[in-house]
Amino acid sequence: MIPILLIAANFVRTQWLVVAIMTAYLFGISGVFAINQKPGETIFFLQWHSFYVLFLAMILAVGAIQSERKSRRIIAVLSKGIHRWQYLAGLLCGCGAIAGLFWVVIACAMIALSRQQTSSDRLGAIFVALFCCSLATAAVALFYSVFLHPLLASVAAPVTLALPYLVQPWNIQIHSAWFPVSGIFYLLQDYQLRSASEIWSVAVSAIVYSLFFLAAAAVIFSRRDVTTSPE
Amino acid sequence: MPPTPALEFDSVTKEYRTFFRNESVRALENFSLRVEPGEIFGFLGPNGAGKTTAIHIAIGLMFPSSGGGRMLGSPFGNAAARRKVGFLSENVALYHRRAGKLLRFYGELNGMRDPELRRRTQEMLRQVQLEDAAARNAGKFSRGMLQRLGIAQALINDPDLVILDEPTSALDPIGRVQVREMMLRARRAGKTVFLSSHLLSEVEQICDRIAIVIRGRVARVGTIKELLESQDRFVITARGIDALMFEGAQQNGYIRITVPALKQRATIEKIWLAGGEVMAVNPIRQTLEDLFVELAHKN
Repeated sequence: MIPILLIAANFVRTQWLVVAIMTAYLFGISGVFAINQKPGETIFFLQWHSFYVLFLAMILAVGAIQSERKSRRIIAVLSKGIHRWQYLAGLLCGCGAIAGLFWVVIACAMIALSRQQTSSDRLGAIFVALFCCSLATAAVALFYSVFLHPLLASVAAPVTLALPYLVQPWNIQIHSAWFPVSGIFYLLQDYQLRSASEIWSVAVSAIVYSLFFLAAAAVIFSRRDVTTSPE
Repeated sequence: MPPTPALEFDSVTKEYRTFFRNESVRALENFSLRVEPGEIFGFLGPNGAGKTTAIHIAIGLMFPSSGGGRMLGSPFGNAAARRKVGFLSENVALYHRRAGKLLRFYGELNGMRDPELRRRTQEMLRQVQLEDAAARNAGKFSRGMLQRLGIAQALINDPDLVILDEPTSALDPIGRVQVREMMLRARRAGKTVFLSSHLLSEVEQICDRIAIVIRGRVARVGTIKELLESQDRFVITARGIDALMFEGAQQNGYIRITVPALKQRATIEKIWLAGGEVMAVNPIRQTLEDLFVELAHKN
């Protein structure tokens, strides 16, 4: 567990600029919403920024391995006594930690903004589910980035995550439990009307989803060359 | 029973394939090599010979297309074996963190914990003379300092096998001497050092055995003496004879004649018959550079 946490902490540290900009942005935009608050905008704020954070988790994960390989820093890490799956799990935890930080900021903003307008009954569960979904998003992105160029991975990952929406024109219905990230957007449309079990089932399926894609990524990564000879 | 080799490649072939064009490049071909424990082993070869590929396969950063091998008795890529190995790659690339913290990070990845980790961190910073720079960010280091830090991270876990890929390429002469001393110290402590270098004089000075790799194959392997001292040809130094008669080279009044071992006795008798005097008979000793260039051209 220690190598995973070390790699995760190191990943967060290397992304300090993204963390700083995004945190500043979230505080700033929360301030704007607080000043010009209109009914219904709090939920819009949550929907909008949920998309941002999920997108950010995907972008962070999609480029993580490639940037380490390009900078050749991966060599000094993987030449130590750690397993490749620990390295991937570390990167995933790092992405999760950054997303988690943003969820905390958004949750604080939501509590401050909601006041009388919206009830915060379901808010805690929604944020846990959103955090789990950001892990799932990062896991899918990490999975594709193991064997695809980041550019291709950044196309493949959202296609996978948004599959239920993409197949809708053909009247194909996919249960949200199989695609928790698209499921969370359904819940966010009006989270106060959703039952707690609906929200928690998305959270649980997102965790299962993350573990599945992490395991698949680890299997592929354990068979791939991480360096190409400079010669 | 022979001791378990520190590093052993067994008929390793590595082929790089391009994805779209169906082309392949063979970096290693039936590459076999055995490094004994407790020796400093020099690994030489021209650019593109496959040295780095071989090292990366041993560490587990790459996988062979066929064949395999063992490192400290475990198959290549074994994480537990890597905990007892120190590796410095060519073109050191480290995170931009404070040097002391960075060493701790790499030590912790190898399973080290305080107080041993604290002690080793201090010791390594002292050995590579970066004690005063421990609180400085590695991103602001010069290339030489980064190389020293790279050496420190490779040795932080007090490894049984040290694999160094061009460890002195960015160092000044004093730094090179210090690294050489570190390698000799490691050998005295019973460790194995696998040194890939283009600095032939350095390799000649400290290595017990060397291998020269050409186009992914081991072209020569042996001790320095075995490789450089030929028993096939000798140089006879004589005086009082005509250089042209013996196809020799005149130098400071002496004639130096190079002859194959089979003609050695007949040539000496011929010198005596011509009224000359034989001063010395020595086996030809090439320099490592001569041997390296000869093998590279031959292949």
